[in-house]
Amino acid sequence: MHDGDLVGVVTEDAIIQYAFGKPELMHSNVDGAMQTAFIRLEKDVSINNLVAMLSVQPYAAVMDGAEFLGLITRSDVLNYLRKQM
Amino acid sequence: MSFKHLITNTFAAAGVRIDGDRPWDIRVNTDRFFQRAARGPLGLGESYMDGDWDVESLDALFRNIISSDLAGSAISKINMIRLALRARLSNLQTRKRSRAVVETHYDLDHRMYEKFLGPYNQYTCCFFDGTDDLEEAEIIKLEMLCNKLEITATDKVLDIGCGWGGFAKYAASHHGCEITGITLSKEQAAYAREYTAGLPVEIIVSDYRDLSVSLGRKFDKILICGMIEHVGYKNYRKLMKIVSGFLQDRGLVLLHTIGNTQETSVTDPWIEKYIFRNSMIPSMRQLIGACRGLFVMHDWENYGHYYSKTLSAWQQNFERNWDAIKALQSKRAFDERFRRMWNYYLLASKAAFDVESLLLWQIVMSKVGCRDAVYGRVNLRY
Repeated sequence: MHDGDLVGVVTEDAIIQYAFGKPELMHSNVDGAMQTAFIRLEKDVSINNLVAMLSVQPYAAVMDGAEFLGLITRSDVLNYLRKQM
Repeated sequence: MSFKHLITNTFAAAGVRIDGDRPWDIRVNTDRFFQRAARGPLGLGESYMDGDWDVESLDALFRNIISSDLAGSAISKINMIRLALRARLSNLQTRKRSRAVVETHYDLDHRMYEKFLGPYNQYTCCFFDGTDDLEEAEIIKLEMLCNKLEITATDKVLDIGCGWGGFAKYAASHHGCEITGITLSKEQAAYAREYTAGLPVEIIVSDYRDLSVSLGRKFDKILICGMIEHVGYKNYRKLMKIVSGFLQDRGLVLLHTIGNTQETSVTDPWIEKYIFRNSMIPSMRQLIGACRGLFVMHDWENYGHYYSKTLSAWQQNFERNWDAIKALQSKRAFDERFRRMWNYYLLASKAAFDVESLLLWQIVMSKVGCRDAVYGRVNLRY
Protein backbone atom coordinates (compact mmCIF):
# COMPACT_ATOMS: atom_id res chain seq x y z
CA MET A 1 0.00 0.00 0.00
CA HIS A 2 1.11 3.58 -0.58
CA ASP A 3 -0.87 6.48 0.90
CA GLY A 4 -3.88 4.20 1.21
CA ASP A 5 -3.67 3.02 -2.40
CA LEU A 6 -2.98 -0.55 -3.42
CA VAL A 7 0.23 -0.47 -5.48
CA GLY A 8 1.17 -4.15 -5.70
CA VAL A 9 0.35 -7.72 -4.72
CA VAL A 10 2.76 -10.26 -3.22
CA THR A 11 1.94 -13.91 -3.88
CA GLU A 12 3.83 -17.12 -3.06
CA ASP A 13 4.65 -17.42 -6.74
CA ALA A 14 6.03 -13.87 -6.87
CA ILE A 15 8.29 -14.55 -3.89
CA ILE A 16 9.54 -17.80 -5.41
CA GLN A 17 10.30 -16.14 -8.72
CA TYR A 18 11.98 -13.22 -7.00
CA ALA A 19 14.11 -15.02 -4.45
CA PHE A 20 14.79 -18.50 -5.86
CA GLY A 21 18.52 -19.03 -6.03
CA LYS A 22 19.14 -15.61 -4.46
CA PRO A 23 18.69 -16.17 -0.70
CA GLU A 24 20.02 -12.70 0.13
CA LEU A 25 16.84 -11.25 -1.44
CA MET A 26 14.76 -12.83 1.36
CA HIS A 27 15.79 -9.79 3.46
CA SER A 28 14.78 -7.17 0.89
CA ASN A 29 11.64 -5.03 0.86
CA VAL A 30 8.35 -6.38 -0.47
CA ASP A 31 8.19 -3.87 -3.29
CA GLY A 32 10.97 -5.79 -5.06
CA ALA A 33 8.88 -8.95 -5.26
CA MET A 34 5.41 -7.51 -5.67
CA GLN A 35 3.38 -7.73 -8.86
CA THR A 36 2.22 -4.33 -10.03
CA ALA A 37 0.17 -5.80 -12.91
CA PHE A 38 -2.98 -7.18 -11.33
CA ILE A 39 -6.73 -7.13 -11.91
CA ARG A 40 -8.92 -4.68 -10.02
CA LEU A 41 -12.64 -5.13 -9.91
CA GLU A 42 -15.53 -3.33 -8.35
CA LYS A 43 -17.23 -5.26 -5.58
CA ASP A 44 -20.45 -5.60 -7.60
CA VAL A 45 -18.87 -7.37 -10.62
CA SER A 46 -20.69 -10.62 -11.44
CA ILE A 47 -19.16 -13.95 -10.50
CA ASN A 48 -19.14 -14.92 -14.20
CA ASN A 49 -16.91 -11.97 -15.03
CA LEU A 50 -14.69 -12.75 -12.06
CA VAL A 51 -14.28 -16.39 -13.14
CA ALA A 52 -13.37 -15.29 -16.69
CA MET A 53 -10.68 -12.91 -15.36
CA LEU A 54 -9.28 -15.49 -12.93
CA SER A 55 -8.83 -17.90 -15.82
CA VAL A 56 -5.97 -15.63 -16.95
CA GLN A 57 -4.50 -14.41 -13.66
CA PRO A 58 -5.13 -16.35 -10.41
CA TYR A 59 -6.07 -13.39 -8.19
CA ALA A 60 -7.83 -10.03 -8.31
CA ALA A 61 -8.10 -7.02 -6.02
CA VAL A 62 -11.66 -6.20 -5.01
CA MET A 63 -12.26 -2.44 -4.76
CA ASP A 64 -14.95 -0.09 -3.56
CA GLY A 65 -14.06 2.91 -5.72
CA ALA A 66 -10.50 3.75 -4.67
CA GLU A 67 -10.71 1.72 -1.45
CA PHE A 68 -9.08 -1.72 -1.48
CA LEU A 69 -11.39 -4.29 0.16
CA GLY A 70 -9.40 -7.49 -0.24
CA LEU A 71 -7.78 -9.98 -2.54
CA ILE A 72 -9.85 -12.74 -4.12
CA THR A 73 -8.23 -15.92 -5.43
CA ARG A 74 -9.26 -19.00 -7.39
CA SER A 75 -9.54 -21.02 -4.16
CA ASP A 76 -11.97 -18.43 -2.73
CA VAL A 77 -14.20 -18.96 -5.76
CA LEU A 78 -13.86 -22.73 -5.47
CA ASN A 79 -14.87 -22.62 -1.79
CA TYR A 80 -17.79 -20.35 -2.64
CA LEU A 81 -18.96 -22.77 -5.34
CA ARG A 82 -18.56 -25.71 -2.96
CA LYS A 83 -20.73 -24.00 -0.36
CA GLN A 84 -23.44 -23.48 -2.98
CA MET A 85 -23.80 -27.27 -3.39
CA MET B 1 -17.54 -27.62 -72.14
CA SER B 2 -20.63 -25.98 -70.71
CA PHE B 3 -20.45 -23.90 -67.54
CA LYS B 4 -22.61 -26.51 -65.83
CA HIS B 5 -20.16 -29.24 -66.75
CA LEU B 6 -17.15 -27.17 -65.69
CA ILE B 7 -18.60 -26.22 -62.31
CA THR B 8 -19.92 -29.70 -61.57
CA ASN B 9 -16.48 -31.19 -62.25
CA THR B 10 -14.63 -28.48 -60.35
CA PHE B 11 -16.75 -28.93 -57.23
CA ALA B 12 -16.59 -32.73 -57.55
CA ALA B 13 -12.81 -32.42 -57.17
CA ALA B 14 -13.48 -30.73 -53.82
CA GLY B 15 -15.87 -33.51 -52.79
CA VAL B 16 -18.95 -31.31 -53.30
CA ARG B 17 -21.93 -32.57 -55.32
CA ILE B 18 -24.29 -30.27 -57.17
CA ASP B 19 -27.79 -30.98 -55.83
CA GLY B 20 -26.44 -33.69 -53.53
CA ASP B 21 -27.92 -34.25 -50.06
CA ARG B 22 -24.92 -33.90 -47.74
CA PRO B 23 -24.63 -30.77 -45.56
CA TRP B 24 -21.85 -29.35 -47.79
CA ASP B 25 -23.53 -30.10 -51.13
CA ILE B 26 -24.70 -27.16 -53.22
CA ARG B 27 -28.41 -26.96 -54.04
CA VAL B 28 -28.92 -24.90 -57.18
CA ASN B 29 -32.00 -22.69 -57.36
CA THR B 30 -31.38 -21.20 -60.79
CA ASP B 31 -29.11 -22.25 -63.63
CA ARG B 32 -27.42 -18.84 -63.90
CA PHE B 33 -25.44 -20.04 -60.83
CA PHE B 34 -23.12 -22.07 -63.11
CA GLN B 35 -22.09 -19.14 -65.25
CA ARG B 36 -21.60 -16.84 -62.26
CA ALA B 37 -19.65 -19.42 -60.23
CA ALA B 38 -17.31 -19.91 -63.19
CA ARG B 39 -16.09 -16.33 -62.62
CA GLY B 40 -14.46 -17.52 -59.37
CA PRO B 41 -14.88 -16.53 -55.72
CA LEU B 42 -16.50 -13.17 -56.50
CA GLY B 43 -19.16 -14.72 -58.74
CA LEU B 44 -19.76 -17.59 -56.34
CA GLY B 45 -20.33 -15.20 -53.44
CA GLU B 46 -22.52 -12.80 -55.40
CA SER B 47 -24.67 -15.61 -56.69
CA TYR B 48 -25.13 -16.82 -53.10
CA MET B 49 -26.18 -13.31 -52.02
CA ASP B 50 -28.76 -13.29 -54.81
CA GLY B 51 -30.15 -16.67 -53.78
CA ASP B 52 -28.99 -18.60 -56.86
CA TRP B 53 -27.93 -21.46 -54.60
CA ASP B 54 -28.16 -22.71 -51.04
CA VAL B 55 -26.29 -25.11 -48.83
CA GLU B 56 -27.20 -26.61 -45.48
CA SER B 57 -23.81 -25.76 -43.95
CA LEU B 58 -21.80 -22.91 -45.48
CA ASP B 59 -18.82 -23.56 -43.24
CA ALA B 60 -18.73 -27.28 -44.16
CA LEU B 61 -18.80 -26.32 -47.85
CA PHE B 62 -15.93 -23.86 -47.37
CA ARG B 63 -13.88 -26.37 -45.40
CA ASN B 64 -14.06 -28.57 -48.51
CA ILE B 65 -13.31 -25.73 -50.90
CA ILE B 66 -10.32 -24.39 -48.96
CA SER B 67 -8.72 -27.72 -48.09
CA SER B 68 -9.07 -29.01 -51.65
CA ASP B 69 -7.32 -25.87 -52.88
CA LEU B 70 -10.24 -25.09 -55.16
CA ALA B 71 -9.57 -21.54 -54.04
CA GLY B 72 -6.26 -21.80 -55.89
CA SER B 73 -7.77 -23.32 -59.03
CA ALA B 74 -7.61 -21.82 -62.51
CA ILE B 75 -11.03 -20.21 -62.08
CA SER B 76 -10.02 -18.06 -59.17
CA LYS B 77 -6.43 -17.51 -60.23
CA ILE B 78 -7.38 -15.00 -62.89
CA ASN B 79 -9.12 -12.90 -60.27
CA MET B 80 -6.28 -13.19 -57.78
CA ILE B 81 -3.63 -12.30 -60.35
CA ARG B 82 -5.57 -9.20 -61.30
CA LEU B 83 -5.81 -8.14 -57.65
CA ALA B 84 -2.18 -8.97 -56.94
CA LEU B 85 -1.05 -6.83 -59.85
CA ARG B 86 -3.10 -3.98 -58.54
CA ALA B 87 -1.56 -4.38 -55.07
CA ARG B 88 1.95 -4.53 -56.51
CA LEU B 89 1.55 -1.51 -58.75
CA SER B 90 -0.15 0.81 -56.30
CA ASN B 91 -0.48 1.34 -52.57
CA LEU B 92 -3.98 0.08 -51.79
CA GLN B 93 -3.83 1.45 -48.29
CA THR B 94 -3.15 5.12 -48.84
CA ARG B 95 -4.78 7.51 -46.37
CA LYS B 96 -7.72 8.00 -48.70
CA ARG B 97 -8.19 4.33 -49.51
CA SER B 98 -7.84 3.34 -45.85
CA ARG B 99 -10.94 5.37 -45.16
CA ALA B 100 -12.90 3.29 -47.69
CA VAL B 101 -13.11 0.24 -45.44
CA VAL B 102 -14.03 2.46 -42.54
CA GLU B 103 -16.88 4.02 -44.46
CA THR B 104 -18.22 0.77 -45.91
CA HIS B 105 -17.68 -1.50 -42.92
CA TYR B 106 -16.93 0.15 -39.59
CA ASP B 107 -19.29 3.07 -40.06
CA LEU B 108 -22.15 0.60 -40.57
CA ASP B 109 -24.84 1.21 -37.98
CA HIS B 110 -23.37 0.25 -34.63
CA ARG B 111 -26.72 -1.16 -33.53
CA MET B 112 -26.26 -3.90 -36.13
CA TYR B 113 -22.91 -4.91 -34.58
CA GLU B 114 -24.44 -4.79 -31.12
CA LYS B 115 -26.89 -7.44 -32.21
CA PHE B 116 -24.22 -10.06 -32.75
CA LEU B 117 -21.09 -9.03 -30.80
CA GLY B 118 -20.64 -9.49 -27.05
CA PRO B 119 -21.11 -6.67 -24.50
CA TYR B 120 -17.52 -5.37 -24.89
CA ASN B 121 -18.00 -5.06 -28.69
CA GLN B 122 -14.90 -7.12 -29.36
CA TYR B 123 -14.80 -7.45 -33.14
CA THR B 124 -11.73 -9.70 -33.07
CA CYS B 125 -11.08 -13.20 -31.79
CA CYS B 126 -12.45 -13.95 -28.31
CA PHE B 127 -10.90 -16.64 -26.12
CA PHE B 128 -13.25 -19.55 -25.50
CA ASP B 129 -10.98 -21.02 -22.86
CA GLY B 130 -13.16 -23.40 -20.86
CA THR B 131 -16.35 -21.50 -21.71
CA ASP B 132 -18.97 -21.38 -24.47
CA ASP B 133 -20.21 -17.97 -23.40
CA LEU B 134 -19.29 -15.02 -25.64
CA GLU B 135 -19.19 -12.47 -22.80
CA GLU B 136 -16.81 -14.64 -20.76
CA ALA B 137 -14.70 -15.29 -23.85
CA GLU B 138 -14.46 -11.52 -24.44
CA ILE B 139 -13.31 -10.93 -20.87
CA ILE B 140 -10.71 -13.72 -21.01
CA LYS B 141 -9.37 -12.20 -24.24
CA LEU B 142 -9.28 -8.67 -22.78
CA GLU B 143 -7.59 -9.85 -19.58
CA MET B 144 -5.12 -11.83 -21.67
CA LEU B 145 -4.20 -8.65 -23.59
CA CYS B 146 -3.66 -6.75 -20.31
CA ASN B 147 -1.72 -9.63 -18.84
CA LYS B 148 0.58 -10.05 -21.83
CA LEU B 149 1.22 -6.31 -21.87
CA GLU B 150 1.89 -6.43 -18.08
CA ILE B 151 -0.37 -3.40 -17.69
CA THR B 152 -0.09 -1.62 -14.34
CA ALA B 153 -1.97 1.32 -12.85
CA THR B 154 0.85 3.73 -13.70
CA ASP B 155 0.96 2.79 -17.42
CA LYS B 156 0.08 5.04 -20.31
CA VAL B 157 -1.31 2.79 -23.04
CA LEU B 158 -1.82 3.46 -26.75
CA ASP B 159 -4.51 1.39 -28.49
CA ILE B 160 -4.10 1.71 -32.28
CA GLY B 161 -7.37 0.64 -33.89
CA CYS B 162 -9.48 0.98 -30.74
CA GLY B 163 -12.84 0.14 -32.34
CA TRP B 164 -15.77 0.90 -30.04
CA GLY B 165 -13.51 1.26 -26.99
CA GLY B 166 -14.01 -2.20 -25.44
CA PHE B 167 -10.34 -2.71 -24.55
CA ALA B 168 -9.99 0.86 -23.30
CA LYS B 169 -12.95 0.42 -21.00
CA TYR B 170 -11.79 -2.96 -19.71
CA ALA B 171 -8.15 -2.00 -19.18
CA ALA B 172 -8.92 1.37 -17.57
CA SER B 173 -11.54 -0.01 -15.20
CA HIS B 174 -9.76 -3.25 -14.20
CA HIS B 175 -6.12 -2.17 -14.33
CA GLY B 176 -6.38 1.54 -13.63
CA CYS B 177 -4.16 2.64 -16.55
CA GLU B 178 -4.55 5.67 -18.84
CA ILE B 179 -5.50 4.85 -22.43
CA THR B 180 -5.36 6.72 -25.70
CA GLY B 181 -7.41 5.03 -28.40
CA ILE B 182 -7.01 5.72 -32.12
CA THR B 183 -9.61 4.98 -34.77
CA LEU B 184 -10.29 6.16 -38.31
CA SER B 185 -14.04 5.85 -37.84
CA LYS B 186 -15.87 8.92 -36.55
CA GLU B 187 -18.86 6.76 -35.67
CA GLN B 188 -16.71 4.40 -33.60
CA ALA B 189 -15.01 7.33 -31.88
CA ALA B 190 -18.31 8.92 -30.90
CA TYR B 191 -19.54 5.63 -29.48
CA ALA B 192 -16.24 4.89 -27.69
CA ARG B 193 -16.15 8.33 -26.03
CA GLU B 194 -19.56 7.80 -24.54
CA TYR B 195 -18.84 4.18 -23.65
CA THR B 196 -15.67 5.07 -21.70
CA ALA B 197 -16.99 8.28 -20.13
CA GLY B 198 -15.64 8.91 -16.63
CA LEU B 199 -12.54 6.75 -17.20
CA PRO B 200 -9.01 7.99 -18.01
CA VAL B 201 -9.58 7.31 -21.72
CA GLU B 202 -8.99 9.64 -24.66
CA ILE B 203 -10.24 8.72 -28.15
CA ILE B 204 -8.66 10.31 -31.22
CA VAL B 205 -9.80 10.08 -34.84
CA SER B 206 -6.60 9.78 -36.85
CA ASP B 207 -4.75 7.77 -39.47
CA TYR B 208 -1.78 6.01 -37.82
CA ARG B 209 0.48 7.90 -40.25
CA ASP B 210 -0.65 11.21 -38.78
CA LEU B 211 -0.17 10.24 -35.14
CA SER B 212 3.05 12.19 -34.67
CA VAL B 213 1.00 15.30 -35.30
CA SER B 214 -1.83 14.35 -32.92
CA LEU B 215 0.18 12.92 -30.01
CA GLY B 216 3.72 14.08 -29.37
CA ARG B 217 4.31 11.84 -26.33
CA LYS B 218 5.45 8.29 -25.55
CA PHE B 219 3.62 5.28 -24.15
CA ASP B 220 4.54 2.41 -21.83
CA LYS B 221 2.44 -0.13 -23.68
CA ILE B 222 1.06 -0.23 -27.24
CA LEU B 223 -1.70 -2.51 -28.45
CA ILE B 224 -2.36 -3.14 -32.16
CA CYS B 225 -5.40 -5.39 -32.15
CA GLY B 226 -7.26 -6.38 -35.32
CA MET B 227 -5.84 -3.36 -37.13
CA ILE B 228 -2.79 -4.43 -39.15
CA GLU B 229 -5.12 -6.49 -41.38
CA HIS B 230 -6.09 -3.14 -42.94
CA VAL B 231 -2.60 -1.69 -43.26
CA GLY B 232 -1.27 -3.53 -46.35
CA TYR B 233 2.17 -5.14 -46.66
CA LYS B 234 3.72 -2.05 -48.22
CA ASN B 235 2.97 -0.09 -45.05
CA TYR B 236 3.90 -2.63 -42.33
CA ARG B 237 7.40 -1.24 -41.96
CA LYS B 238 6.06 2.31 -41.74
CA LEU B 239 3.59 1.29 -39.03
CA MET B 240 6.21 -0.52 -36.97
CA LYS B 241 8.60 2.45 -37.21
CA ILE B 242 5.85 4.73 -35.97
CA VAL B 243 5.05 2.32 -33.12
CA SER B 244 8.73 2.14 -32.19
CA GLY B 245 8.85 5.93 -32.07
CA PHE B 246 5.93 6.09 -29.65
CA LEU B 247 7.14 3.33 -27.33
CA GLN B 248 9.10 4.00 -24.13
CA ASP B 249 12.42 2.18 -24.12
CA ARG B 250 11.27 -0.35 -21.54
CA GLY B 251 7.78 -0.68 -22.98
CA LEU B 252 5.97 -3.57 -24.64
CA VAL B 253 3.98 -3.92 -27.87
CA LEU B 254 1.30 -6.53 -28.42
CA LEU B 255 0.29 -7.26 -32.00
CA HIS B 256 -2.96 -9.24 -32.23
CA THR B 257 -3.74 -10.14 -35.84
CA ILE B 258 -5.15 -12.75 -38.15
CA GLY B 259 -2.25 -14.63 -39.70
CA ASN B 260 -2.03 -16.08 -43.17
CA THR B 261 -0.38 -19.45 -43.74
CA GLN B 262 0.18 -18.39 -47.35
CA GLU B 263 1.90 -15.22 -48.40
CA THR B 264 -0.24 -12.88 -50.49
CA SER B 265 -0.54 -9.20 -51.20
CA VAL B 266 -4.33 -9.19 -51.53
CA THR B 267 -7.48 -10.66 -50.07
CA ASP B 268 -10.23 -12.85 -51.53
CA PRO B 269 -12.02 -10.82 -54.25
CA TRP B 270 -15.46 -11.28 -52.70
CA ILE B 271 -14.24 -10.20 -49.24
CA GLU B 272 -12.45 -7.30 -50.95
CA LYS B 273 -15.61 -6.06 -52.64
CA TYR B 274 -18.23 -6.65 -49.96
CA ILE B 275 -16.58 -6.82 -46.53
CA PHE B 276 -13.06 -5.47 -46.04
CA ARG B 277 -11.95 -3.08 -48.78
CA ASN B 278 -8.18 -2.87 -49.22
CA SER B 279 -7.42 -5.45 -46.56
CA MET B 280 -4.89 -8.30 -46.51
CA ILE B 281 -3.78 -10.86 -43.96
CA PRO B 282 -0.04 -10.85 -43.15
CA SER B 283 2.28 -13.83 -43.25
CA MET B 284 4.99 -14.49 -40.64
CA ARG B 285 7.69 -13.42 -43.08
CA GLN B 286 5.99 -10.12 -43.85
CA LEU B 287 5.64 -9.29 -40.15
CA ILE B 288 9.18 -10.34 -39.26
CA GLY B 289 10.48 -8.22 -42.13
CA ALA B 290 8.56 -5.21 -40.84
CA CYS B 291 9.96 -5.61 -37.30
CA ARG B 292 13.56 -6.42 -38.18
CA GLY B 293 16.01 -4.24 -36.30
CA LEU B 294 13.20 -2.45 -34.45
CA PHE B 295 11.74 -5.05 -32.10
CA VAL B 296 12.73 -8.18 -30.22
CA MET B 297 10.01 -10.84 -30.27
CA HIS B 298 9.36 -12.45 -26.90
CA ASP B 299 6.24 -14.47 -27.51
CA TRP B 300 4.31 -15.57 -30.61
CA GLU B 301 1.18 -17.65 -30.20
CA ASN B 302 -1.62 -18.97 -32.37
CA TYR B 303 -5.23 -19.00 -31.18
CA GLY B 304 -6.95 -19.70 -34.52
CA HIS B 305 -9.22 -22.37 -33.02
CA TYR B 306 -10.76 -19.69 -30.79
CA TYR B 307 -11.57 -17.58 -33.85
CA SER B 308 -13.65 -20.40 -35.28
CA LYS B 309 -15.70 -20.48 -32.06
CA THR B 310 -15.94 -16.68 -32.06
CA LEU B 311 -17.29 -16.56 -35.62
CA SER B 312 -19.72 -19.33 -34.80
CA ALA B 313 -21.03 -17.39 -31.77
CA TRP B 314 -21.39 -14.17 -33.85
CA GLN B 315 -23.21 -15.99 -36.64
CA GLN B 316 -25.63 -17.62 -34.20
CA ASN B 317 -26.33 -14.27 -32.54
CA PHE B 318 -26.78 -12.64 -35.95
CA GLU B 319 -29.38 -15.21 -37.00
CA ARG B 320 -31.10 -15.19 -33.61
CA ASN B 321 -31.44 -11.40 -33.75
CA TRP B 322 -32.15 -11.10 -37.46
CA ASP B 323 -35.69 -9.80 -36.99
CA ALA B 324 -34.37 -6.98 -34.81
CA ILE B 325 -31.58 -6.17 -37.30
CA LYS B 326 -34.03 -6.12 -40.21
CA ALA B 327 -36.19 -3.65 -38.31
CA LEU B 328 -33.32 -1.14 -37.76
CA GLN B 329 -33.95 2.19 -39.47
CA SER B 330 -30.55 2.93 -40.95
CA LYS B 331 -28.67 4.50 -43.87
CA ARG B 332 -28.11 1.00 -45.19
CA ALA B 333 -30.98 -1.43 -45.78
CA PHE B 334 -30.61 -4.63 -43.77
CA ASP B 335 -32.44 -6.75 -46.32
CA GLU B 336 -32.33 -10.44 -47.21
CA ARG B 337 -29.30 -9.88 -49.47
CA PHE B 338 -27.41 -8.31 -46.55
CA ARG B 339 -28.38 -11.26 -44.35
CA ARG B 340 -27.04 -13.78 -46.87
CA MET B 341 -23.89 -11.69 -47.38
CA TRP B 342 -23.18 -11.51 -43.65
CA ASN B 343 -23.75 -15.24 -43.08
CA TYR B 344 -21.51 -16.02 -46.05
CA TYR B 345 -18.77 -13.76 -44.67
CA LEU B 346 -18.89 -15.15 -41.12
CA LEU B 347 -19.10 -18.81 -42.08
CA ALA B 348 -16.56 -18.77 -44.93
CA SER B 349 -14.14 -17.07 -42.49
CA LYS B 350 -14.93 -19.68 -39.83
CA ALA B 351 -14.05 -22.45 -42.31
CA ALA B 352 -10.68 -20.83 -43.05
CA PHE B 353 -9.84 -20.96 -39.32
CA ASP B 354 -11.21 -24.53 -39.03
CA VAL B 355 -8.78 -25.85 -41.63
CA GLU B 356 -5.95 -23.59 -40.34
CA SER B 357 -5.66 -21.67 -43.58
CA LEU B 358 -5.99 -18.59 -41.34
CA LEU B 359 -4.53 -18.32 -37.83
CA LEU B 360 -4.81 -15.81 -34.99
CA TRP B 361 -1.51 -14.53 -33.71
CA GLN B 362 -0.57 -12.64 -30.58
CA ILE B 363 2.97 -11.35 -30.73
CA VAL B 364 4.68 -9.62 -27.80
CA MET B 365 7.68 -7.43 -28.58
CA SER B 366 9.99 -4.87 -26.99
CA LYS B 367 12.43 -2.42 -28.51
CA VAL B 368 15.78 -3.72 -29.66
CA GLY B 369 18.61 -2.91 -27.29
CA CYS B 370 16.46 -2.40 -24.19
CA ARG B 371 17.50 -5.59 -22.50
CA ASP B 372 16.25 -4.69 -19.06
CA ALA B 373 12.68 -4.96 -20.40
CA VAL B 374 12.40 -8.51 -19.04
CA TYR B 375 9.36 -10.37 -20.29
CA GLY B 376 7.65 -13.39 -18.79
CA ARG B 377 7.33 -12.22 -15.19
CA VAL B 378 3.55 -12.12 -15.11
CA ASN B 379 2.02 -15.49 -14.39
CA LEU B 380 0.37 -16.40 -17.70
CA ARG B 381 -1.97 -19.32 -17.82
CA TYR B 382 -2.63 -20.81 -21.23
